[in-house]
Amino acid sequence: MANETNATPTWKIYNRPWYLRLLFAIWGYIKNVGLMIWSVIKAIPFKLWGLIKAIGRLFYGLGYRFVKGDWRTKISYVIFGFGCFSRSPKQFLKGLLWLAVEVVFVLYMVFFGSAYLWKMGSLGDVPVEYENGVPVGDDSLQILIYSVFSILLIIFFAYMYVKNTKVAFDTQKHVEAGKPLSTPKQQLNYALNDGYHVTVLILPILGVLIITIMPLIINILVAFTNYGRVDGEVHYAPGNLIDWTGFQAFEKVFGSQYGEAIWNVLAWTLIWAVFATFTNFFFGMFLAMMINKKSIKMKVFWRTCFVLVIAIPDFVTLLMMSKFFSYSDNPSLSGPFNLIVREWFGVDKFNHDWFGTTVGNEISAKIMVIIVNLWRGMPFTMLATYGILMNIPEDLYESSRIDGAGPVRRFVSITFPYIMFVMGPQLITTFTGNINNFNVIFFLTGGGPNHLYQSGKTVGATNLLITWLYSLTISKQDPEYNYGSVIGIFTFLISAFFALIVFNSSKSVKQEDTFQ
Amino acid sequence: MIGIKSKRIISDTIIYVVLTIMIVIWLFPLLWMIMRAFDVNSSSSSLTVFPEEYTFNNFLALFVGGHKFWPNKFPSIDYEVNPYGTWMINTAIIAAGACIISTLMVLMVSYALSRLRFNMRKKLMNIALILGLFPGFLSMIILYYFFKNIGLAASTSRVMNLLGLILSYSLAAGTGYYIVKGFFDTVPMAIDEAARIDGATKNRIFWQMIIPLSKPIIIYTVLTTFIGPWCDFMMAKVFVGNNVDSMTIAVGLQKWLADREVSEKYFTRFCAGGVVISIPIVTLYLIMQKFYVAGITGGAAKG
Amino acid sequence: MKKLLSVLLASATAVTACAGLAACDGAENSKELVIWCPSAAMAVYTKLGEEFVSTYNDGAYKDYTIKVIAHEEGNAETDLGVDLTQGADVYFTEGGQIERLITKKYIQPLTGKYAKYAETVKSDNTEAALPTITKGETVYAFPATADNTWFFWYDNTFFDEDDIVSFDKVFKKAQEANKHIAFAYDNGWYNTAWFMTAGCTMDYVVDSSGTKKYKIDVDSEKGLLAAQSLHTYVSKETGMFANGENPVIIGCDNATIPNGAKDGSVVAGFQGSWISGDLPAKIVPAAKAPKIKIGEEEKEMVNFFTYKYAGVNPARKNVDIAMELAAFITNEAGQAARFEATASNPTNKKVVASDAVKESPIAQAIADRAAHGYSQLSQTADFWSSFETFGKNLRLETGATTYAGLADALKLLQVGVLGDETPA
Repeated sequence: MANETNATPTWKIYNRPWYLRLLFAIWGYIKNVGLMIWSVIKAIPFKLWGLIKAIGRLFYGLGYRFVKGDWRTKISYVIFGFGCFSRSPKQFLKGLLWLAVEVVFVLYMVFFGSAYLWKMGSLGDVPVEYENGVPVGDDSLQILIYSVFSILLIIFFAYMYVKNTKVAFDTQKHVEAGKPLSTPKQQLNYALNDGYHVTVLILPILGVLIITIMPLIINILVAFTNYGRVDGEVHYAPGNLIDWTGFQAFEKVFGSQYGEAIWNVLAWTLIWAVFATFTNFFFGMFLAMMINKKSIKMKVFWRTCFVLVIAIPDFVTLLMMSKFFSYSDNPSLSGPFNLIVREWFGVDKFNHDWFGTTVGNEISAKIMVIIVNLWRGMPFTMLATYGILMNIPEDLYESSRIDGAGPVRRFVSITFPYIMFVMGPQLITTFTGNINNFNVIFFLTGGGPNHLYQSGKTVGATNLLITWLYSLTISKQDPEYNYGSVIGIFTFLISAFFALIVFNSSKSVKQEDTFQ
Repeated sequence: MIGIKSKRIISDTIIYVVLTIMIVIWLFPLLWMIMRAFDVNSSSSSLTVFPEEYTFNNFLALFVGGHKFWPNKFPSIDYEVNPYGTWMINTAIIAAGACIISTLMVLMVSYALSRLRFNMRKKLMNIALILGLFPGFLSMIILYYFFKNIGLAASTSRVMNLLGLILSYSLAAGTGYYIVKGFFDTVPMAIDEAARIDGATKNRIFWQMIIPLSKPIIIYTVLTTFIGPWCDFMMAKVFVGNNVDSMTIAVGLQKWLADREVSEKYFTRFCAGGVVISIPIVTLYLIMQKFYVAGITGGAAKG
Repeated sequence: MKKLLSVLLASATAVTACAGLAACDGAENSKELVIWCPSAAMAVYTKLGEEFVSTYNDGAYKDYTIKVIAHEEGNAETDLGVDLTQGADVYFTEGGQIERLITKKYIQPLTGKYAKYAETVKSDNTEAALPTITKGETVYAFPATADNTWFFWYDNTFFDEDDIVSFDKVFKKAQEANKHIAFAYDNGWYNTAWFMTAGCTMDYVVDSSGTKKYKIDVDSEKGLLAAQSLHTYVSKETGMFANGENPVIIGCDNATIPNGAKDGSVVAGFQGSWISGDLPAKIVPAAKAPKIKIGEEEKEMVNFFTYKYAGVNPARKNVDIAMELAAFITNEAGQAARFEATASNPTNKKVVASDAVKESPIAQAIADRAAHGYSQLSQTADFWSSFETFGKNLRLETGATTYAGLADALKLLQVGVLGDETPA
């Protein structure tokens, strides 16, 4: 009940002070998040039970079809497609396709996959030695990759197996019922019409499987190995062996090695995301409002000027900004911004290390990063809010003006809620996006001035979780892939948490068709 | 009493002044970079903010630097014939290839999720959402090894490297269906119904009816997926490593600036490189601006 | 339909473009050998490479091509780690990396059929270059240069002979005249000199049971004295100009001394021999490094002094040829050519004894350093970042390490350098 009243802004007479409504909205939000998390937790045992039941049904179905099937269907359990092409030449093509699937899979496993799968438990026993440039031995990383690949193929094959039995059984039932079997032409028609969702989705799903899902699984697995430098020993495939280590990497990251660092980095990541998102939003909104004002001329000109900033690729502008604010102890070697303040504004001997590269001023670096991100990102929000502002019907403003509402009141009760309604979910999406905003931090500060922790470790102070991941794994002498994977999983959990909030809020937004 | 009209003039003037100040602040660094691109003094530190002398040399050096003909006038960086032109061609090819495949993928997925009804529909959308949250970083390293074993990355053949990058950018593009699906949702189902009655298959409906109606959003997708590889840094860097002739613009320019020596002695060349690469992208972006606003607000408002 | 056609047309163009590129690419070149060497030495090794394929061994390697890529020695380990099979066939690397290259198997040992090269290496090169690359009986690399060190450069119009005997004198003179001294106080390669001069150890040792442990004792009396001395010069408390405007010591990268010397703002610095190309004539290398004041004593400066080696990649196709190539470019003629081009001190005994080397001013500076060098066998993975942070922390704007806080900073430094190694 409380949700309804507070999610629906009213513009007529303001019978409740705006700050109370805002507080109520926030409280409603938090309550929703809590309720949602609780419902997710509650649902887990049900989902599990549903899964068990589904698996049970699967085996039951397999057995049932075997028992009730005739000899052709029974043979299909061993030779795919037999049930099809043995019954009628019309089904020849279909049956052949099924057979091809089975043959390809078996060949793959026999000649390639099983060798790797066999070694998955130990991840190799003999490290690679090179003889005449030819590697001899077990390449642990390759074993890991191809084992996972093979497992995915096995799962796919199992799915096809079950489907195959269903197809064989259905064909049999068809024949028994006296219905004619489908011709190839009909089958093609099916693929393009009723079965179109399969045809059209196969390639994209395959693509996602290979490019996204498989590396993801392997990454999660790497977090449970010692692929990196652990206890002073290096483990880099192919020259060294990698082993499974269970949760040791997690314990190291959250405990002895990086325990202090990871929470600091997380804190900054969240602070950064909040500031980055909301400074961009508010500045963009005010700018859009200014340009949108009816009496302002040359709207396109103003807009295009700002769009120019985002049109140029960000690695160009960000790298350029890092040089623009560069600093050197020798003032004549400092960058143009320091030069401008010295010469054009007459401030004597001004030489500030904006990004903390030399004097390590962490606060300055953090503030500058937010400011440059504002410079770079505000045109985006400006464009978006501009589009929204154009859509607000004029008569709302007219009627409120007649009612005697001043400009501030008009903004708070008409413009702002309207914008928030449309942009709300997008705002939180931008927030989660900023959590993983690699480019800005990396190109400006590379992770920022180094901060020394009590554990003796040095981690850059403007590092987000993701740039820290980069510094741990790429361009490092002893890359720590396993710790990197742990951090990756951690980042995923954080992002997932906030994304769930998005999901929740967009759900409640969807229920709002009584917005007006 | 200040009349309403003069109140408006005052507030307008204030706004114009604020806007002008903001434009100056926003565009000044860009102006500086563009002017430095014409600078004779090629080091990164300079005693004046703007160049004292101007020249086109930096632009020419981008493409001919290091050539045997002008070893002194256009010195090469890293002793190689300046690879900037190569980088541009690489990036163009990658962008074109990725654009075509990505657009096809996105269109297919959006159509399926928007129009067709089947069991796994909601589940697929949730999976796509969750997949987008994982930082793609380490996946790139794994993908690199996987592709390397197939021969699509880090091979001596430039073609295979480029192909590998194209595939890695585009094959998984299906998960970015959000905006296009939102657009498809606004196309009324009545069109589909009419076509079904006339006996058209879903395939025909897709290609011959939905696509022509979706021109703006298709153009938006094409342009976005085309611009993407030009600006992407991480994926290209992991895949390309140190093969200078397979690099993209983003990796190459970052390499110039990351190398301390180069960034100090040849900074103006980096500026020139940045300017050259920005011209086509800015043009495309401005063209796309119309479709961009429609895409963001169109998709988001529909949720 | 039109749309379909246009899409097909576009993809066809893309495919033909790729095909065209493929035609230009040519077949995969398996007869090509790649050398990674520092950019300053590229010309030398390109020439040597051409000589190798044309005239060496009566043109036995005529079918091969040598490609030389500029690649700093310090990055060898990192880039080989990215993908060993894509690394160079022959690469230059630093002494400090050899240990790890051996563990990770990025370097081909000179055993078995390559044992003959080991003999030549041992007989032709100076003794001091060998311990790094020898484990037991096996040799792992070819010594190339003996210039992996840095020394003191000074402006001879500003300082005279007895000024540069002691760094304290140098500092005070620069401070009074409001001039800069370039010293990379935030780089472990340089700031460790203070600790080494004070007598600290930072090295791997093998204990009685054969396990490797890391010994570091910066958190001690000696270390504290060294840190205090460094703090006096570097920090903002005591290291500023006489007029208090700027710090005397500024960070040093490749351009600082050449650029600073041109306008006279920098009068001295610590750098390696690689800057000798661009310098104005008034900047000369000191034959003998100034003494450093640790506590109350003036001590001979000790800094890192190691060698650079050429290693062979075991995972490439032409390991045999690569071995020949590596031996060729680091033999007597190769090292002489390298010295002539880049003034890098050689390790080959005959070249060292030649007149050209003996009389070069840099060679004298190097000889001085060799006498007081800390040979860098290998360091822990966090060694460099920990010393970098320590140095930077001396000069922070906020939260800088104060004189009183040095003991704590040293504790953290020691913990950081050790990382997860076992302490000796």
